[in-house]
Amino acid sequence: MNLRIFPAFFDHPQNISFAEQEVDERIELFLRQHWVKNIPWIFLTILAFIAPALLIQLDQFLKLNLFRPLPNEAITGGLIIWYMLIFAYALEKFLFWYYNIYIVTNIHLVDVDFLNLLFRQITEIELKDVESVRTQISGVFGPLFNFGNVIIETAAKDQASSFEDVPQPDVVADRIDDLRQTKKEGSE
Amino acid sequence: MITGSDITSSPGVMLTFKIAFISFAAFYFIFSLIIIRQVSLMAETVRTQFGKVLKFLSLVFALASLGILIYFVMKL
Repeated sequence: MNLRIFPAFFDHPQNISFAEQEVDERIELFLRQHWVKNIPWIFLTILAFIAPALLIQLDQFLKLNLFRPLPNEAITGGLIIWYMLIFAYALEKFLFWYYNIYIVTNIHLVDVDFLNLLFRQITEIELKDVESVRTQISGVFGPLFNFGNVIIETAAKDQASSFEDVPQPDVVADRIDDLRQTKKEGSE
Repeated sequence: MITGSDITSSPGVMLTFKIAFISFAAFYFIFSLIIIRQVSLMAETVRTQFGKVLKFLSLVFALASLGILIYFVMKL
């Protein structure tokens, strides 16, 4: 199941490139976390969006008059701030999802991490250094929507990496394995 | 007898609200500038078709934040 509004799996994508891409390097797979991972923050955003209306309804229903002592300007300002906070939260979550990218090329595995608004990390592993690739699908939603982790182990202990919650992890692992074999055969 | 309504509508309380709202909007505007910088940096790191749209939206977001800051200064 794939949603075009949150695309997360691109096979041989056109019109996509990355900063440290080499001249003869082509992108085989371009991945993000599965769109299902966005559901919790979208749900929370919708809930927060309707919360003031619910609170006002509840206030009127129970005749609490919580807002009566407050000046209208303060209520208006408070509501604006509330919606600004919600928007900031949703934007930060969307950017976090959108710019956490995993790229498989014919030379490297690239992990672009957008950890927060002030911190970005790019990790590159050469395919020839990959020792093994395995997949891990867990939880209720993983098998249901076919997403999970692809764990990449290298000869160097500190270079192990994982593609977390990517769609079709078996396809991704197979492709990395095929590219690794081709790379090794080519270098022999 | 002083009521809750008298306290919350007094000039001192309104001034406190105004300072709090303006401070928040100023920090929010700074946050929107950080978003512009970060989106621009990420769009250069990973070049996608939607990257340009995101850069434009981050600019609109910063302008809206500035608009809210001005609204708080002028209207409240």
